[in-house]
Amino acid sequence: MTGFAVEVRDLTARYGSTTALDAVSFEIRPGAITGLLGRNGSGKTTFLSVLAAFRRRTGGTVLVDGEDPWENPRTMGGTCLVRESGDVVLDEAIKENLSFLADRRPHFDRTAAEALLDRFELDPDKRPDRMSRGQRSAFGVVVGIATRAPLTLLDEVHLGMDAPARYAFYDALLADWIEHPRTIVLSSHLIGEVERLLEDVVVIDKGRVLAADDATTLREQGLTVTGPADAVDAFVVGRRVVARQVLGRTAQATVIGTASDDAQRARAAGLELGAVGLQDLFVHLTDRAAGEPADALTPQESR
Amino acid sequence: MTAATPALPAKAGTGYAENQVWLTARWLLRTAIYLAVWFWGIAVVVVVGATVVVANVGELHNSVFAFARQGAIWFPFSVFIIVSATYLPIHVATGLTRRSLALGAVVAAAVTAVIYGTVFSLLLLAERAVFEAAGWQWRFFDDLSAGAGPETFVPASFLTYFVAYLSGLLVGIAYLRGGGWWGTITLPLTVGPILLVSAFFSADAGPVATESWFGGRGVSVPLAVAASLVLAALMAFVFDRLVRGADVPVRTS
Repeated sequence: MTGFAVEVRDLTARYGSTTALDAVSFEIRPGAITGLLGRNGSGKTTFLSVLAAFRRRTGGTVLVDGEDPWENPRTMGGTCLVRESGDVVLDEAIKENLSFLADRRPHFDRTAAEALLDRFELDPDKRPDRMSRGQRSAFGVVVGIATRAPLTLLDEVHLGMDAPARYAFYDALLADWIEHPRTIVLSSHLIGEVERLLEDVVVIDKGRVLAADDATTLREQGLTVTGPADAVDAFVVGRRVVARQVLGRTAQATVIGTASDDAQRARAAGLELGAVGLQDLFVHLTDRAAGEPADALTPQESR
Repeated sequence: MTAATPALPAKAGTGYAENQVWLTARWLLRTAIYLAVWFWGIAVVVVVGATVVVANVGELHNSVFAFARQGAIWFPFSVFIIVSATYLPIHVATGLTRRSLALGAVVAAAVTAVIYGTVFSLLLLAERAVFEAAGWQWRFFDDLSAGAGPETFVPASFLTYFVAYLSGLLVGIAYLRGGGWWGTITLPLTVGPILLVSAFFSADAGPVATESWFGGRGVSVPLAVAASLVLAALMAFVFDRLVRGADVPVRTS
């Protein structure tokens, strides 16, 4: 086994009268990088907080590596949730924070942490409360990667980081995961940037799970059709179109759901077919412009 | 070749949970001891200066160091409020349990009380020796412990400090869990024990004199010690319960 598995059944979490998670059920595969996608206030942070025993669930079952994580020394010791900027000792220098973590985290790799500090150009003598937002986010990334927890939860850790730093983070995360496989859950709004990292995807909206599957299967749940606008329009008649772009006489439509004769029809009409992007799928699932969000993918659409 | 991260933390075997308590206590004590050095250093300078001034302009009748008792109560009290109100997220984020935080914090409060009580008692005894050598009258004088001797002020110091620091932990966790209103409303319950334990050891404490509760003879020191220990145990139990049920405050992105 390479990391903790997570099993969630009918998980409910409420803050007073607000329901953050409403009886959600899904599983996170051990050893995979799973994307947790959702809009602001969708319940992502609450879900990750329950996994890391930051807060209690209101109802349902949560199993981390087969056990309830609440006040469980084993699973808590093997779970690392990094929220934006991390929960670190703000008035101690970074190097003191590393010692603090090394004393507490069974797999913490100080050498890796120091290499990452170099990569993100962070001064080990600087205190987190004297760093910029981007630097603090980068330090949170260092903590999340170097802790090497069997269940690593990264909740919007990229906020405040500029594009070069974010791409350095993605590369460092992937390289470390390949070297030390473990379960990683990555929560992000920047789907286009993180898409290449993700093996599995969970989409949450308004406390409900709209899709939970491996990324390849999700991408296959729809397709993009590109070609002459008239032909594209004819091809998508009666289909769930979630995005449409027109450039001159050429159009591209993104549809949810596939049919067995899609390839044949596309060839006949001179159209090109491609996989649906996670970003388009996400926007479709969580679009509230027309009122209520789209229904969750059907079992066929989301296995 | 890849090196898979083991599913079981290597340190999660026997003693892992117990080790968390000492890790926590050590970390909290590091700050407490650092602040104690500053506190007593400043106290010595101020008390020596005040003693010299008073000896030159008037007469000394009472211990000057005795007045540091209030500072030794309320300064660490405020530090322990900050500890329990702010340290929980960091503690849980490093994978440690609330149980270890509760026990570690109580251990840290107890050791801090021993440190402050020991330093305070030794400084009082040193001051008494200096006063006697100089021919000045030395008398322990404080609002709640007028005229007390070492047999009273030594245990009173240890236990008052311990209860005060537990009180700080309770105040912090009450504000963390209940917010501003509940934290404030419960102050009589969370801070009140400091006055109560002071009253246990008082000889003449005015309206809160315990001697009036026991037929005018006051509470004997052994009884005051026992009552204070029971009170401290009750406070530690309540703190433990409150910490174990505490959620880490939400910080959404």
